[in-house]
Amino acid sequence: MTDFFKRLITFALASTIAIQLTPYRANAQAAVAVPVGAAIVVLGGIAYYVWTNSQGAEQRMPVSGDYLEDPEGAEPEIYSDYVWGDSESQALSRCQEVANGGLDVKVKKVGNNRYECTWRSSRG
Amino acid sequence: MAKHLVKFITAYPMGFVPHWMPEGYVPESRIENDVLVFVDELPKIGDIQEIEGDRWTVIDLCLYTPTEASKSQTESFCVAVCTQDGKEYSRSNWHDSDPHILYIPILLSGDLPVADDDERVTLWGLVSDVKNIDAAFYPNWETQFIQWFELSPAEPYKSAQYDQVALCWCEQVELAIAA
Repeated sequence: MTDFFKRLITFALASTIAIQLTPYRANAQAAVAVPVGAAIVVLGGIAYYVWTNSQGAEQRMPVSGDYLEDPEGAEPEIYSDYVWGDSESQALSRCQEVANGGLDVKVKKVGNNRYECTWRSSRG
Repeated sequence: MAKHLVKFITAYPMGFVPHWMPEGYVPESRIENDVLVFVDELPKIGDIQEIEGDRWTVIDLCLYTPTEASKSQTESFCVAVCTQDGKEYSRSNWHDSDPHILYIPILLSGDLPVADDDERVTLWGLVSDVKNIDAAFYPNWETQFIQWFELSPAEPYKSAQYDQVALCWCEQVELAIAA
């Protein structure tokens, strides 16, 4: 986890904002609950929720949830899952389905007809 | 160490589900398992092989020869497709048009990677790009060099062949323990 994400999570907890992460393979998009009374403003073409915290400081959060994207964009997310397959050709096909457009899909045999699929996110 | 590395593919009869498959598994095609074995002599079509207690007949062969003679620890790599009744069948081909590179980590001693829960199950990886080869099936296996094999042009092999095969010769190293 990058420092950016750590800082983001710390910030979110301190602001008593509930963040629900979608399951592991859902490209790290988030559903966000914002405080009642938050306003939406557009700054530099990006929509933000804006509210004032208990210390009186103004807080902002992008509406789209894109704040979870790594701004450095240098470290692609690596994902993995497991599939069964009739054969290695079917295992590869199933891994590609599981990767759902992910890049560099790799298949490793880990047991009889059991395969580990690994891929990276399409960004980064 | 024996001269040739053979990947025996054992194809079960249509509809048969081996005991290791999850309960309720419904195959869409013949279930194929495989095992990697070093041999002194390459198998021939029609040969009977005893694999894990069962008798299998070789119905198809595919030979890969090394690209670098200077690093020929292994003279050839071979895929041998087997059925129990000795009859040919139509194998499923790849479902994509990407390159298919099979890679096999192997210790310099000749030991192959095996499954955690069954040392008779030999392991391998499949990638479409050389840069994605990850020979580190175990954290303490460090690749020393890769021996490349390409399809022998004379082979009339029918399906699901590899564009390249990489034997990743590894050495076991001691892992540093973090303080």
